[in-house]
Amino acid sequence: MPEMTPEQVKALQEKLSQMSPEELKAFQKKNCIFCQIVDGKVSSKKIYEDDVCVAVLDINPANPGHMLLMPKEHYAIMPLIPEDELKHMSMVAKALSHVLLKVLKVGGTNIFIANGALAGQRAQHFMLHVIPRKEGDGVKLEIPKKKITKSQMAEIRKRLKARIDVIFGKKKEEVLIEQEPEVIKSVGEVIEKEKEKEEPEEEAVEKPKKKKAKKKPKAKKAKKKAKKKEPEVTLDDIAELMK
Amino acid sequence: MNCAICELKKSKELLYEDKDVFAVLSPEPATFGHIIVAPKKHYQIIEQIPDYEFGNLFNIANKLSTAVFEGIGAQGTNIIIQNGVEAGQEIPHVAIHIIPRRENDGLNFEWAPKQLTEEQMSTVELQLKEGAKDIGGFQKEEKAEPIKLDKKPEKLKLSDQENYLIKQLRRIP
Repeated sequence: MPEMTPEQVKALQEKLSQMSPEELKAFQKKNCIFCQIVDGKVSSKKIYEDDVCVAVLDINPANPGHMLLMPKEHYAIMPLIPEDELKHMSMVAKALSHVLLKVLKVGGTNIFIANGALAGQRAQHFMLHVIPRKEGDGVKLEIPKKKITKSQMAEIRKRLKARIDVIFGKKKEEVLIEQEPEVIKSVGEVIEKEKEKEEPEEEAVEKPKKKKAKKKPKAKKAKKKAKKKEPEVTLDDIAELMK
Repeated sequence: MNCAICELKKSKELLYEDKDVFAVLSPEPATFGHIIVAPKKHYQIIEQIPDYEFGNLFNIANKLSTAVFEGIGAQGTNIIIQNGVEAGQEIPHVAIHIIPRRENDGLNFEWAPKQLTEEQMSTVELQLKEGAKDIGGFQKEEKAEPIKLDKKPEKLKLSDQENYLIKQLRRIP
């Protein structure tokens, strides 16, 4: 792509911001390589196609037979796909997985989705990877395991459950009174650190870590419950309260 | 036989549950907020699940993934199914992993692409195309038949009652 002058960039941004959602979608579609693959304007090795989706061979495969299954419609991320289409695609993915096991005689398959750039999503077109696997193929899709304390689990669960209940219509949207991403962050830090530190010093580093995790909620709780006395609240207490 | 995922199902701290599916926080998370979504029935690999049930499972996984963004402020999610031991499956019970992603979380699910010749690609293409041509006719969920009543419920004779009520009304001065 040729370099654009700052003026051109600005003009383009201006233009984009004035587009209607339909125009914007058409614009994205026009510039999306995967939409062009779907339309046959860019050549590909199509394995499967129906009204909703297309499966092609990945040109940079993790293993021979690695397929990309994508909706024909341009959806940038998974939550934008209508329920029916996603269900249909998952069933196609299941069938493709079966084809891999049967035809290529592989030992297993991975179904993999990257949602968002940070998760490794490269294209602005949602897709689902179906990857054939054989022992010792060098594909690293193991899911690491880390330790987590019960109180951390409880805190995360509380936040997720509130959201999940809203999404599944079990509870009406409510404004969380205490929006403290710090608590979550501190939990994240702990996980991070546990990962970094190796086992030998486990005991020694355990304590300061715990303190850190407890400190922040303590402060927050103290603020919230200032009138009610008891500034000494730990994450464990929070966990108890949530039962 | 003890299945670790069947054990998780008994947890009192499920995130989600319906008649076929449950979701719970992973006890050994890859990142915090790592969710395991699984069918309640002990299917070992996805080939054993009826199509519609897999569709529902996947749909729920999508919704839970959204919750991860909104509920704990993840900036991305990876959704992974390990189908078969050689694909990294450790517990013989189908599960979908939803892994919240953040900056510098130390995870990396990228693979080095394998270099295949044009001929190798074409061979795989032909093989898979042949195998995929029968895809379709997915199993649908059996809807419960509407209950047929042989006898029509007898109609209530309301006339007497009405009369009675009217009479009552009239009695009021």
